[in-house]
Amino acid sequence: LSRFSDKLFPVVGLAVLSAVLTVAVAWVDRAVELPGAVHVALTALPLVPLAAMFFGIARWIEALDELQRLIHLEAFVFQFSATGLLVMGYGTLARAGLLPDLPVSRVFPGLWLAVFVFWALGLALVRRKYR
Amino acid sequence: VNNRLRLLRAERRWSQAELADRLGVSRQTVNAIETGKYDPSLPLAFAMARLFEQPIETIFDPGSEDGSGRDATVGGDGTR
Repeated sequence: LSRFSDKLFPVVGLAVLSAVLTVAVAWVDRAVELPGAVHVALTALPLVPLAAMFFGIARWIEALDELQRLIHLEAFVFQFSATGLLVMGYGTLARAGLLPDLPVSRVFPGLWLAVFVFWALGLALVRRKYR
Repeated sequence: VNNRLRLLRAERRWSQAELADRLGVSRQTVNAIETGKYDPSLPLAFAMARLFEQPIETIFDPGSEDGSGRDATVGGDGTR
């Protein structure tokens, strides 16, 4: 692990907390009938650690040295391009009737996962370049 | 841009990790600069000059404009 990892650990912790809250809220939502305002607040609860996670990512990037920032920028470009190609590619094939037309609520979790997978893949590829 | 970073570091018997610590950067950054895969920013280059107590131009050499500049890791007599 690099010298910058100490700022990354809270980010991972917040991501895990957000995921746990998402599952817990979904479970409560199914089990209990809640009044409107409480239901909305409970549904939005996982967004709090998620927002803190993005703030943590910004702090972590600020703490990186110049080459590490360049590596992450190039990884983000890879991630952005790959995710865009995936979304546009799937959309085009779905419109042509070659793939099922998925509802948005089913697409988002997979898309979120793809963002992180492409970021990790981009990071691995770019790091090789500067090794 | 060529540089004499590896040579200067070896003279002081510092590891890449030790130099990285002194400069406040990662070991990968020191390695990438030494191998010429990354050119440091001016602030980092000046930090290196301060650390090695040498003028910046004795550590870094821009090479010639056609890209075939002399290797800064090679001394004036051709020895490394």
